[in-house]
Amino acid sequence: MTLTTVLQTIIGGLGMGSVYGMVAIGFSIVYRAMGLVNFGHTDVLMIGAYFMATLLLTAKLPFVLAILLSAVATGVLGLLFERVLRPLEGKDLNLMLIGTIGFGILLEAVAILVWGSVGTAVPIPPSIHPFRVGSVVILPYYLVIMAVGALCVALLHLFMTRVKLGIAMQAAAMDPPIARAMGVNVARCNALAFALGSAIAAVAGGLVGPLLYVSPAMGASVGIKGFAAAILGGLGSMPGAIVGGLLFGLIESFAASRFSAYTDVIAFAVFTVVMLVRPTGIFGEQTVDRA
Amino acid sequence: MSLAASPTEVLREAPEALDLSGVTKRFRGLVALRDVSFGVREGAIHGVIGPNGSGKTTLFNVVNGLYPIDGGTVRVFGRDVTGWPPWRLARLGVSRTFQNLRLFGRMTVLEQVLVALDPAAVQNAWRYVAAPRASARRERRLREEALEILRQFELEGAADELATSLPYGHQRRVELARAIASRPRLLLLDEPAAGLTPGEVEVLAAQVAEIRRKGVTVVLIDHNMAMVMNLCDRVTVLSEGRVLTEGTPGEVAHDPEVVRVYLGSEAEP
Repeated sequence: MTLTTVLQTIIGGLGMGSVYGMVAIGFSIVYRAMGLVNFGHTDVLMIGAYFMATLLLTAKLPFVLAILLSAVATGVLGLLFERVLRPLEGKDLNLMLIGTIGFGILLEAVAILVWGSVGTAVPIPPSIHPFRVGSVVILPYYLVIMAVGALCVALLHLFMTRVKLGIAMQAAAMDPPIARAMGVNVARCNALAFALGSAIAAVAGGLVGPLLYVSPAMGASVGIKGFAAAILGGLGSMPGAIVGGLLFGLIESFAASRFSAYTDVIAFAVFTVVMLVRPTGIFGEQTVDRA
Repeated sequence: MSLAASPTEVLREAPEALDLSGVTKRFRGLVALRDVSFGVREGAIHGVIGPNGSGKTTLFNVVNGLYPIDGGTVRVFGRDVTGWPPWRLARLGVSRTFQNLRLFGRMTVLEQVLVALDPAAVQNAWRYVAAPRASARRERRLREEALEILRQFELEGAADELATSLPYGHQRRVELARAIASRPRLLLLDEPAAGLTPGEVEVLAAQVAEIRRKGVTVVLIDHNMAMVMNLCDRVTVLSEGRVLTEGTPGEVAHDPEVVRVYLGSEAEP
């Protein structure tokens, strides 16, 4: 491997890694709030990608506006998702888990009905041209993904640590009964966790659309890697989600550069080994048990 | 030390801040509270005492909405709040502390106070996007208010420290500051003096008296009899989930029934 290919591999890995990281944040934020793994999250990403593709290709909106509107629409979908699950909250975690799977299947079926089972290709915005730095050809779209991912993380961090509502959300996640006694509407905080996670997933889906194919099955391919990233970093940890995402992106990128046919096999094999050595993930200090 | 300076005659005329009638709570077969009825006048410090397991904390948990009620009604400032969720009660002005210190694990002292601050005005999330500048101004104001409350409890130096890393006495103070942050009209204190040194208890008693002076009605559970007797206008004694007796601290202290439940049954013939 020459230095050039190494650099390109790293940039590609970090670009995809940012996407996985954004998906992982959605898994972690809901897990922290409710102790629930939201298996429907991968399909929320897919719906977000379709919203974006439709706004871009059919409504001919500019790229940035399409992603923003899709994030808002998908955030509303997240609110709806939590509302459907709410009657089960605090009663039966297993039923809620099955509920998230069911909601995901429903979203996939709706996507097939609305957009068909064949995928759609989304072009990279033409204003973003590949450029050279010395002998390295850089696909700047990966840099755009990284920048947007970093912006999402920074905004989320500001919200969770500087804003009263974000701090109330953290309180609701740490100790729901006490947060309630302090006047926090915990159900609303949970809904907000779903909405934020879903909106970020829509941004991730919208960004990754041009690199892959937007199809009803993309949740299973991209989303599951986001889930692996969340586990790798430590489910429930925000820094873990980001580091896990970038790490998984890099592993996948290097695997693809050497043995492209076996990319997923190698990426998940490395993932499995890491999990065997450190079952709680990189930043996972404890397993949250809340039933 | 006569901290209970407010004249009992005036209190008798005041409307009721808390009115319990026939409150009953069962845990499967066990009856934790049986037909508990008493009232607390606005502006009073009302003590609730009784041996361990007599249902004092359960009573708070029912009043506060943490436990569903099995019978009876709870009225707060004249409103029937039976079955209200805790966060709604908090917004009506009911706040509390917890017997076994329930501070948020990974949060600074300032953040603990911020959570409770201004619960009536938790903003709709949209407004952060729709009016970012007004929201930012509001956030700054909330932070200043939180710091002001910390100053009141001499905790401003620890504002950015993890609350759970502070010494025990300070953690108790953080909990009290957090309870005050929601600007309650009715404050439920569950054994606030537990584990404090005599010096810290004195500071606490002065703080509670000051909180009442500002117009907050206080209901106080504690085993520190000296503090309860000094602070409270009236005291309700619970035993095995029932109201054993109620009266002024002087009346209660000399009630033979109370002496019996506190000293055990040897006094019985």
